[in-house]
Amino acid sequence: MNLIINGETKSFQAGQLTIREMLGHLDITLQKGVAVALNNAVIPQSQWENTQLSDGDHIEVIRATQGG
Amino acid sequence: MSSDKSNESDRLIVGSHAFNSRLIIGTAGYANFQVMLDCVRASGAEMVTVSIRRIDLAASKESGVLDLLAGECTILPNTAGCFTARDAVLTAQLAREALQTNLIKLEVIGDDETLLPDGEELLKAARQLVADGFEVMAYSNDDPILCRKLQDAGCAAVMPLGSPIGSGMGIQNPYNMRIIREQLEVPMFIDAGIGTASDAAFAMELGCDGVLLNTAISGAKKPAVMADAFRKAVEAGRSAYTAGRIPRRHYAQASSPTEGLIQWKDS
Repeated sequence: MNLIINGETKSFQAGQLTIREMLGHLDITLQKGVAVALNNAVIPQSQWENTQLSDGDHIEVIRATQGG
Repeated sequence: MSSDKSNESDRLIVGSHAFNSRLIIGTAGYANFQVMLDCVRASGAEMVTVSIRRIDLAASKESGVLDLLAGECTILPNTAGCFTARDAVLTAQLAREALQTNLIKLEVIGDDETLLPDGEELLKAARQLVADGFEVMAYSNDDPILCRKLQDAGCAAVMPLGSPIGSGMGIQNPYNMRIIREQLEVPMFIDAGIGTASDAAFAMELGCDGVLLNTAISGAKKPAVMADAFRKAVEAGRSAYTAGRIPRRHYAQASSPTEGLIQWKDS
């Protein structure tokens, strides 16, 4: 399936993928300081395991960065 | 000796948080992380602001600002770069999830050139975030009516700008600042426009509860020295405010006693 992650289209072999699995594929193992939005809705970390993604989903993965 | 000089009980309360320092600094624009850390420490700031941005998918393992500061300071995420209430609310919700804090510095900008707040969208976002349980510190125009509406919306602090972000133009409308201070019950910060230490001291002398700044430190030739100057300026301004300044008068008033003046013999 194709997912649009932080504005980039990424292809995954798997037919089914949770947010946690997607992050694993992206090698994002950090949990502290990271948050995820799926199609403009924030998904709490507690739901990463059981939130299934669908082809064409828009995902934002963010972290805190230097800012003023 | 009197203990009047002590300000130990003069803590700053913002929502459910209490601070000894009245200076909040931004974490952007430093040459490197070490300079940023040196400045945070020299400033004595107990709260620092950070932005929320997309993670770099190619470099997600690199340590970030949070790894360095989370143990030392209260982290105040901001919604910098948001132009609509919708984007600001979503960004605040992401920040809460990422940082496990209800604090948010709410910025909703009207355009790229002035970076001035969009009052309409700001108020809309503030209402939604307060209803969603956030402790909102709202970056505002120096407009007493808008500031009062932000307080009425339930903001934990209202933060009018001294002058545009990064301009270093200081406090351009001290008359409005006095009105805003008199009207608000929640803490009021000057956020943006501070250029040098005396601007911060002046803000505190006007009765502001604190000062938020970034570029004035990160853009200085010697950032850590400037951070130390701001720590002193904010403390000095606060002390002067609590001490109570003398009234202004148009003519001189001698400070030496007139009694016992020597009367010289006419020659």
